[in-house]
Amino acid sequence: MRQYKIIFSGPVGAGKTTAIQTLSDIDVVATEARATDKVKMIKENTTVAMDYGRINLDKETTVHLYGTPGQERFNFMWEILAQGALGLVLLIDGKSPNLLDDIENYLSAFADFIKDNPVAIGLTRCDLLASECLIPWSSIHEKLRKNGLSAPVFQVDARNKQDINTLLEALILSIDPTAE
Amino acid sequence: MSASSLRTISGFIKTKGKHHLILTDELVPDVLIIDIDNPKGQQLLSHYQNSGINLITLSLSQQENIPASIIQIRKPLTGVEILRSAEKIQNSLVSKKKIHAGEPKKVVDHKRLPSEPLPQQPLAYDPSTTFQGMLRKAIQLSDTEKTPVLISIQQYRIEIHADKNRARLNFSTKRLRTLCQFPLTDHLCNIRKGLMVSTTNDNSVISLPELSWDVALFCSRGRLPQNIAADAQYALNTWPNLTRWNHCEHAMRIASLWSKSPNNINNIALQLALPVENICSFITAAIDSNLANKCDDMTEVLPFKSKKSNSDLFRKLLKRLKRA
Repeated sequence: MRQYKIIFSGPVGAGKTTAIQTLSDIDVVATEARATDKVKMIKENTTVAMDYGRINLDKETTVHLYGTPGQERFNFMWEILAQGALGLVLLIDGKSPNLLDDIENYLSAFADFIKDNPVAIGLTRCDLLASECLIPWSSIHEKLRKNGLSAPVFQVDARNKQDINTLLEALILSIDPTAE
Repeated sequence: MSASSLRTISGFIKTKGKHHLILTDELVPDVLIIDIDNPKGQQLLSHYQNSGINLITLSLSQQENIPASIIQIRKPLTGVEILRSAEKIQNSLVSKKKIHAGEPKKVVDHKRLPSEPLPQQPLAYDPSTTFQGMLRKAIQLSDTEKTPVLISIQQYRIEIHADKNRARLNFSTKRLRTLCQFPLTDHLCNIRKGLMVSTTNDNSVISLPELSWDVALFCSRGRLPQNIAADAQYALNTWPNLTRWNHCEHAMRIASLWSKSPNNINNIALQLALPVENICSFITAAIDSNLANKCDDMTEVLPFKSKKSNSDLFRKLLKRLKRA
């Protein structure tokens, strides 16, 4: 039995649990608890340990999908979950005023992992941006360049299978562009 | 072709019962449009074919057995049909120029394995006569003058704000493709400092990287702008937003390989076994949208070596993702 792992991380409310639900072949195992801190303003329940989903490719091959808790006070879980993973999917709330800081924070939190493994960034909730507001592509690209990264950054809807599949496809091809 | 000629052609196309059209503002005509369903048109065709003039002939005929030298505009005439014909004329002109210039025959690279495809020579085009060139000019003007710049093409208006990295359009972004299909001159496309006078609130707002990407992609159509050297190395610094922006076929694979290290068009085409046209479109769009840049120092491009250990997993996973 061959088993692989992909990590989903990002701030609270970015859509990690939803993205795993979108991909998973099983009902997602979530460790949610009622939010008590400022997260309560964003959503009622939040992940405290991890989310777990699974893609069954065949009887022999399984890809496990792990979602990290968003709050930074649970960041001790991030490294534990990332060990041995194929890659990291970073989901960032695209309409957050702290978008660039969020990207920076997560890239530095996973800096050791990203050194040797690919990362794909999904910007979620962009459909909720006011019509006059645009994704600051140039600033995001600049931020990645400063971090020495040339990673895929796509606008995604965590509920949309095609979007999440495309993001995952980019992650896989980042490892091996010749894979077919 | 002059503006008056274009008007004449458009009048001819709209008028029923006309059989042929000769442009009189050119000493030696480049293009002949004939309806060879009509006896008069057929006479004219044979006259020109026998005259030895090097002509591109457009036929408006419905016939199936049209000679290969004739570019056919199928009836009923539609915008798409005319654009297709225009593209064929342009390709025909390019190939004629090559023949006249005594282009050397392609030399087979003996180092290459017989099973590997020969990279094709990409077709070149002059971006300054397209919407792509006009957009570049406007962005540059807005950037240097630190002021909004307005592009006007007929009823279409594009307001460029280089400082805010955005553009405002008085039309749907779906129309961009159409604007990229025909040649533009300064006469047809006005660029000036200023804002759009808009009576509606239906304007689309788009980021400049996305606008530049889309426009360059639509103008390239598998060709390479004259200012991009086919054998030079370019680095892809950032991926395009492939879930929302328009893109060419195999864009994901091109981006993934090209983002690993600076590369050139033929190498990418060979390594991924893709048509060179896909790479040309991608590189053109990436450079225009500042996602890529030319590398001054040419380094040896080592082919990407995939690790065999996970190849089975990746194949299965990609198959699954694409199927879904």
